[in-house]
Amino acid sequence: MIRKLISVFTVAHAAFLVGCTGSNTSSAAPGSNLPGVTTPLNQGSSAANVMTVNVGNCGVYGYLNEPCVSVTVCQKGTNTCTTIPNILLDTGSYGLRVFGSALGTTTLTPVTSALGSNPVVECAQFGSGSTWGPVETADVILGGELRVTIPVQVINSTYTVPTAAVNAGCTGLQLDPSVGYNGILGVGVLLYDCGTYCETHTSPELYFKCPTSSSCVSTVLAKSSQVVNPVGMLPTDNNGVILSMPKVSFIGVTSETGTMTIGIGTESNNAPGSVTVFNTDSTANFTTIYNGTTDNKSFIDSGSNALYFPDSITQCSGGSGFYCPSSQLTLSAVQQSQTTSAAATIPFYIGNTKTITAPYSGYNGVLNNIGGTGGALQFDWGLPFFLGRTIFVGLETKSSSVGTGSYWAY
Amino acid sequence: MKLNMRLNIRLKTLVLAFGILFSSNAFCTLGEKAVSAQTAGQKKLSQSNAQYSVQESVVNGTTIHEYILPSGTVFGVTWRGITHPDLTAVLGSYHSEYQKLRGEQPKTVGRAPINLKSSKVSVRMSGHMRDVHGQAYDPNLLPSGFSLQDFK
Repeated sequence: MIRKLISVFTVAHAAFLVGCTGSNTSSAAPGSNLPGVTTPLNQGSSAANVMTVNVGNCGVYGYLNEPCVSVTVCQKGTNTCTTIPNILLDTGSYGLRVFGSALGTTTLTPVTSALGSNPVVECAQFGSGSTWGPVETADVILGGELRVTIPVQVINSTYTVPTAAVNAGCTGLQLDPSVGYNGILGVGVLLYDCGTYCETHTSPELYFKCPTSSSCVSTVLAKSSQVVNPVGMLPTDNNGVILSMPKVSFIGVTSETGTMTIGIGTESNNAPGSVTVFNTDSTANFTTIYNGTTDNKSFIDSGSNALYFPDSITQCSGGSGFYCPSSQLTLSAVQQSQTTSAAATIPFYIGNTKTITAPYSGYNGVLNNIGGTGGALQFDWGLPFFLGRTIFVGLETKSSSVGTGSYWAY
Repeated sequence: MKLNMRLNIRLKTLVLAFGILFSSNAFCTLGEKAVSAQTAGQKKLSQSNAQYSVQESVVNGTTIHEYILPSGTVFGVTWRGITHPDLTAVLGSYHSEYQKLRGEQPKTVGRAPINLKSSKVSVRMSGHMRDVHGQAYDPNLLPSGFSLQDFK
C-alpha cells in the first residue's frame, strides 16, 4: 500500500520535472467520574458545563488577546491526572494538543497504526506554524463534564520530522510553551482535525506511522484514531459550545474573564434564544463581504489574536503585517451564511497597533481594535470579534434548537 | 477530483474558459517555464491574454493555481488545502530565500498569518486547520497593471 502510494508520488514528481524544466502542572484526583460513572466531577457552585476563559491573562508566556482555559488530562481509566492551565481556546482548530512537558507525570497511551502497529505521529498545520508529536489516547475532562477517552496530540520532539513533511509546510514548529500556551483546545465547528480525507489518502503529509523515531512515513488513519474535538465526544452537551466574552473599550484592559458553556440548548443555562445562524462549508468557512470583495473563505477564530483581512490600510513598520493607520478607522463588513440567506452587518474598528498596544507589557492586554493583513478571500474574525458577544459554535452533524452543524451563531 | 468546481477567477479583460477538465499531479515552479495545460494534464482556468493566464493543479488534496506570463514563465503561485504543498517544488530556486526569510522572522506575538517579503520573493501563509492557504510571487516578474488582489 505504502509502496504503491510512494510510486504514485514519484510519477507525479517526474511529470513535474518533465513539464517544467527550467507547565504549571499539578495533580488532580477527579475520581468521581471514572469511565462509566455518571457523577459529574464538579459539584461546586458553578455549573458543570461552564469553563472559565481568561483573556490576556495566560501565564508568563501569554500574549495580547489570547483566550485560555484549564483542561484536565488523565491517563486512560485512572486517577493519574494533570490539570493543565493556559491552554489556548481555539475555534479555528479541532482537538486537544498539549506540550509533553506540561503533562508532568501523567503518561498517555500511544495510538498505533492499523498496519504494523507503529506509533502514530502527526504534523498539525495551522495558518501559521505547526505542531508535531505523537497521537496518544487520554481521558480528557472539560470543566465539570464527564471525562471522554479520546486521541490527543502530545507535542514533543521524540520523533524526527520527515523531509517530505517539512517540504509540505510542516515548519514553524511550536517546540515548547514559550510559544504562548501549554496546549491548544480546538473547539471549532468540525469534529476531526483531518476527517474522511485522511482515512483514504496518505498524502497530505499529516498523519505518519513511525517504526523508529527517525523513519516516519505518512499513513492513512481512521477517524476513530484521529485527534478529535472533545466536545463532540461528550455523552451529553455534545452539540457545540458557547463563548461569551465581555466588552472592552478602545483603550483595552489588562485582562478579562469570559466563559465557555458546553452544549447548546441542552441545559437550563445554554438556551440559544433568538440568534442569527451562519452555516459553514465543510472546511468551516463562511462568506464575508468587505470592500466589495466576497471573501468566501472567511472564518471565526478565537485563536487569532486580531482581525486579519486583506486591505490597503497602512501597515506598521517592521513588516509584521499589522495595521497602523494614523487614526482609528471605523469599518464594516457583511457576514453571510454559506448555505442560507442569513446575513448581518458587523461594524469593527482598526486602531494603530503600535499605539494601542503600547500600554500592555506583551504578555497581557485585551483590545477590540487590532488588525492586520491576511490572505486573499479570507476574513479571519479573530478574538476582537468575540469581545462583547455571545457566540454559538455548532458542531458538524450535531443538532440543536437552532439547527444542525456546522454553524456558528449569535 | 474537483471536476465541477467553478472557480471565479476574475481577470481584468479575460474571457474565462472552464471546460478543459483535467485533474493532475503536475504543477510548475515559480520563476520557471510552465507547460501547456493540455500537455501537463492540468486544468486551464483561463485563456491567455496579453497579461497572463492561470492554470490549476490538484496535488495531494491541495489546489494550486499558477499565474503564467505569455512567455510561459510562472510569476506567481497560490494554493489552498489540508496542508501546504511541497514548497521546494512550488518555490524552486526561491526556496532558499523563503527559508532565509522564515529564519529571520522575529518571534511573532500570538497567532497570525505569515508574511515574508524581500526584493526577490514574497510568500504569505494563512488560513486555519483543514484549510491552509498560501501565495508566493516574484515581485520583479509581475505584469504591468497586475494587482495583488488578482491573486485568488
